Amino acid sequence: MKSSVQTNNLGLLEEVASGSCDAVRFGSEFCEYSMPTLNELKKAYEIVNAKGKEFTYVTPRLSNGGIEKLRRQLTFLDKQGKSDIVLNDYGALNILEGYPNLSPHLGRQMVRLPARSPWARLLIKGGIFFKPGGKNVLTKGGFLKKRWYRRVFSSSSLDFQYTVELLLDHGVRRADVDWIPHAPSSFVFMKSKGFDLSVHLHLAPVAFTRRCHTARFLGESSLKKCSRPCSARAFLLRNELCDLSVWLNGNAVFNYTQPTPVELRNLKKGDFAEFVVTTNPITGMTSREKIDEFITLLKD
Amino acid sequence: MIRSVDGRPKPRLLSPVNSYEGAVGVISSGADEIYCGVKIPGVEYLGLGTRPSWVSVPDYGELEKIVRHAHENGVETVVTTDLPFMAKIVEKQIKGHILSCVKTGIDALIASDIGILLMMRKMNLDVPIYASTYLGSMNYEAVDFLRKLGVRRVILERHLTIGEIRQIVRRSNGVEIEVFVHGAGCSNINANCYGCVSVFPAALARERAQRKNPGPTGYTMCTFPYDIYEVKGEGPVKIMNATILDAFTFCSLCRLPELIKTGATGFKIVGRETSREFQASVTRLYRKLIDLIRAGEMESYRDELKRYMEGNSMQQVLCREKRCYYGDFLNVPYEIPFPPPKENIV
Repeated sequence: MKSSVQTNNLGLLEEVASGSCDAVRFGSEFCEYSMPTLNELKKAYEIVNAKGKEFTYVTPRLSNGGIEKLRRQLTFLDKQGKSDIVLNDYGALNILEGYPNLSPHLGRQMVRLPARSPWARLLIKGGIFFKPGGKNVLTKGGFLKKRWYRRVFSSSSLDFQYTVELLLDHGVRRADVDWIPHAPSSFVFMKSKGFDLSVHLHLAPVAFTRRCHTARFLGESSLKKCSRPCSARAFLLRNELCDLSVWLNGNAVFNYTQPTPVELRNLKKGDFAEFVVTTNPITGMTSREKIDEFITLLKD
Repeated sequence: MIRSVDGRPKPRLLSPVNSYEGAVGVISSGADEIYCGVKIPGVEYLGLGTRPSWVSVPDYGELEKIVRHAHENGVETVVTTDLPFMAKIVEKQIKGHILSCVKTGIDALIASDIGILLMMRKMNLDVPIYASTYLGSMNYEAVDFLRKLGVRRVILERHLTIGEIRQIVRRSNGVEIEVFVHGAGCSNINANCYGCVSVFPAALARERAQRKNPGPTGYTMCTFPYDIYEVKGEGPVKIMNATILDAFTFCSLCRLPELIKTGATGFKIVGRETSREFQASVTRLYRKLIDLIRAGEMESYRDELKRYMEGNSMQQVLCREKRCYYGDFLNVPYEIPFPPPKENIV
């Protein structure tokens, strides 16, 4: 199992690539406006290559403009040789077939995990749900119904034959998923089909927007000219009444969970192909020391 | 396809319904198509997103009545599968649901997940399949990908600009393109939002009860006020309380002429959770305005729009807050004065 660091910060890349990770993922997972320019991508590729690390390019959901930008970047990467491209858009998957050296790697936005819901923990518990009129719904079904709910919340959209067949037809053999402690997902079906799974630790996406919440909050005047405050700033959002805590970083909202040593041990038994750690102001993983410290824990 | 004199497809007006009475109302108000969800037996309270089950047509018997009435009036009925998630564990329920819907004589099905879309295809149904906004189509290559899967219409993600829509329509290779025009528009990309629940924990009911204005979408986390903390060296520092995730949009009345020029096939009104009166009145308004624009009566369109704005205080608030579907959302204000004082967010 390899340990990868994902970053969109070119300034941090050299430091990250010099660390103890096995591979480096570079690119913007959620924000099209933060996609690197072709020159930045070339530089990033050079840095990672010079450190002898595997390079994977990460792409977000895209508009027409983003698709055109991506075409130019894929042309460059295809010329460099074999590599993986993390895709979060069916349009990107559609164009990737034209680049024989590049392999599609399904991104997190293409995999639906009900457990990402900030209400999942409550929904799984059962017995506290109401439909209008105040009638308790879940307890009506009793234990079996609750167990069924738990199973649904531990499923993913990759637990479906037709979806998997389509992905295989498009050359997808790898996919990104999240570690979500309250509803550990079973990916037995995917693994049985020969998929390699990469698991993201710490941050599970709850939502993301093109109407960037952070840019609006901090008074950015244009997304195209955004100063990217998200590289250094993140916000904890707390609603006491609902006992809801989520994190906002840039245009994405996350659930943040720090795995305990026991959880990490269990995760390592999970037969995943890759662990992904993202540099992010929420996790505080913004230096080589911090990242290496965590990767050491993973490798122990 | 209905076409106008200049050869562009006439935008079909799609209205939301959740009951037979609602369908009668929007059809008499001028809808070209109606759309609805139907409660899915066995998973109606699953709560995985989209709309609460109570905004769906309660059963297949009522759907059949709606379809019959729609067909008698030359209107098509489209059913959305609602569940934005397909896995083996819900296959039996969804398959049975789709078959029951098709039996009522509906005109099309909206697939809200790629797995559901593929399953519909395998079922060899006698109705066209439309790709939901839950498939997150934001570019012409995504539309092309879905076209190859046999989709007749793609409902675009809300967060696009009119220019982007125009480009997609131009390169859609015969796939019909549908866009949202009115009603609560989500703050986040539908395809990747887990913040909405269709059953709700008691805490959410308390939250709703305490708010002055429950917001257009009710139980979604994007409409909640939050204490906002920034993590600094010494730990989290509270900055303020605001509805920071609320970037919902509502209206595109002023942009209708431009939207029609994009060549989009369908204009969708959102509001399955709204009252029958709202569904019918918005349909009537859009019908009138679209017809005026199509007839080239731009002055009458502007007069009608002005009259509507002046007589509708809620609309005035929406305009003041710039809740435009296709506007510059960075300028949408929060409920509290914005931007926050700079000294508080250094």
